[in-house]
Order: sequence, then C-alpha cells, then structure tokens
Amino acid sequence: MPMIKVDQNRCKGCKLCVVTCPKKILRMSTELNANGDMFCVQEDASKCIGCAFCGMICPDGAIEVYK
Amino acid sequence: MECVYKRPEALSPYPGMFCPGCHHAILIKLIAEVIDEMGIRERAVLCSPIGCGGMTVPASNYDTIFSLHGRAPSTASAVKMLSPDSIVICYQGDGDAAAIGTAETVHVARRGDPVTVIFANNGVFGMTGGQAAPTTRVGDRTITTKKGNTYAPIKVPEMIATLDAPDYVVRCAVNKPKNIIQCKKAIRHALERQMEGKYSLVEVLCSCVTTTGVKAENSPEFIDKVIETDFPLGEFKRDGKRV
Repeated sequence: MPMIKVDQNRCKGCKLCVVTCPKKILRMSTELNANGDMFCVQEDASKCIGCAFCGMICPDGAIEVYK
Repeated sequence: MECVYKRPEALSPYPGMFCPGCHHAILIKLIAEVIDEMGIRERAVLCSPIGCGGMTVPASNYDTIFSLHGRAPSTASAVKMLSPDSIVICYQGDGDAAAIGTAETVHVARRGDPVTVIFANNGVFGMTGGQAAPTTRVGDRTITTKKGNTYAPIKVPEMIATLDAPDYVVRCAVNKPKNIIQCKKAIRHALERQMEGKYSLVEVLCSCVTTTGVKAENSPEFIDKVIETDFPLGEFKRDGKRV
C-alpha cells in the first residue's frame, strides 16, 4: 500500500503539498515541530495513490514516498 | 516496499535557508535531482550570485562558486575555460540576470560559451524587500510602485533567442507537478547540450511568497495567471533554430 513519510523537523509548513495533493488527504498538524512550525500529516493513509506529487512540490525535501 | 521519491543526494542534508514555500527551493532540488540522475555530481559546479540565488550555495552538496552581483555568467565561463571537463550551472535571479547583469547575460550568450544559465524569475527583488524589478508585470503593486508598475517587463528568453549562438532557450515553471516534470526535462536537455559545447538558457517562473503578498498556498494559481498574461511557457530555440 502506498505511504508517505514526513521528516517533521525539515518541514516549514508552507502548505504547498496540501494544495497539490490530488486526493486532498494532507493537512497541517496542530502541534509544532522543533523549529516552531506546523508540519504536514496524512489524514487517511488508505486513500493515498503514491503519485509522489507531494514529494515533488515540497521545497524542503521533507517527504519520502513509498509504493 | 519500494521508495519512489526521496530527497536527492546532491541536496544538502541540512535544512535550506529559503522562506517557507519558496519556489527557488523547488528549483534547486530539481537541479540536484537531475545531477543525481545523470551521475555528474563530481563534475558539477554551481555558480551563484548575490540575492536569494546566493542561498543555493548552502543548499547544494556539490562544488559551488560565489560571484559578484550580476557577474555569475562571466564567472561560469571562466570556470568552464579553466576546467573544460566540469559541468557549469549558472544560477541567477531576475534582479541579478536582468537588472545589474544584463551585459554579462547577453554577451555570454552572444559568445556561446558552453554553460547552462538557469534564470529564476520571480518578478521582484526578493531579498531586499520586494522592490519593483525589470521583470515586474504592468500593474503589479510592489513597495516601490504603490499605484501599480507602469513599465513593461523585459523578457529574457525572447531576447536571447534572437542571438545566433545559443542552442537551447526555454521558459518553464515549477508551480505544479506537470510543469515540474517539464522543467526537469528542460534542465536535463540543457546540461546534455552543454556537454556538447553549447550554450543554453532555462528561465523558470518562480513566486516570491514573502514580499509580493501572495501566500504559499495560493502561489500555484498565481503563477498560472502569470503564465496566461505575460510569460508564456515553451521553447524559443532548440538545436540552434528558432521554434
């Protein structure tokens, strides 16, 4: 099953992955990381199709995609 | 389980210095991916200028050289002359390539030096706080044009494509996955043409998410609007011929 892994302390919370995800299953977290930023979390892992669009658009290289 | 996407090796393992959502960071990651795919990390040299383009130096995990403001293409051609085996990438912003360094940009293209110029165009002077640049669109409001910019922007690829020596001149964007894939192909083709001794220029439309008043989550739509109104994507020159 496709899944993503987010490096929480690399994420700066720009929300580009949230608007780019075709299935709209990413959102920002309510807690903060070590830098004080919100980070990206996956809501419903079963809907992920492994397209890697979120990894492609991420400016900080925080997202790894497995399929 | 197979990893289909991860951070490229040629990108520094430390977090970048760019603002959250900056398109420069997507572009430097894309260049790192191309370098990893082609296996030229030991030969690649990144020439970076003053400005936001200068923050690509700590983000790159390969050889870099820092140059004066606007003089990055001259530095790049010097590196290429002294070490012809290296793959020289000249990374410039629009305040650098289109404002203070117009002479260098034009004359390196006129001579046809075998370098690849990657020109990140975000339409403002981002690092100094968002003043109007030569690439600001008509009607755009910046901190120095409060009532809207009145001058038409300079279009660098169209200008360079009128010269004889350039081999590959193209405009891309990095706002959506489709454009990112096209931009990656363009950068790869530009580097391959450089290995055959040709000059190439890749303009990449970026969005400054800090100084233009465009939020990061709205920047893909904003760039789509910029493409529609002023800066159409596409190739202007391929294999030395006008397209």
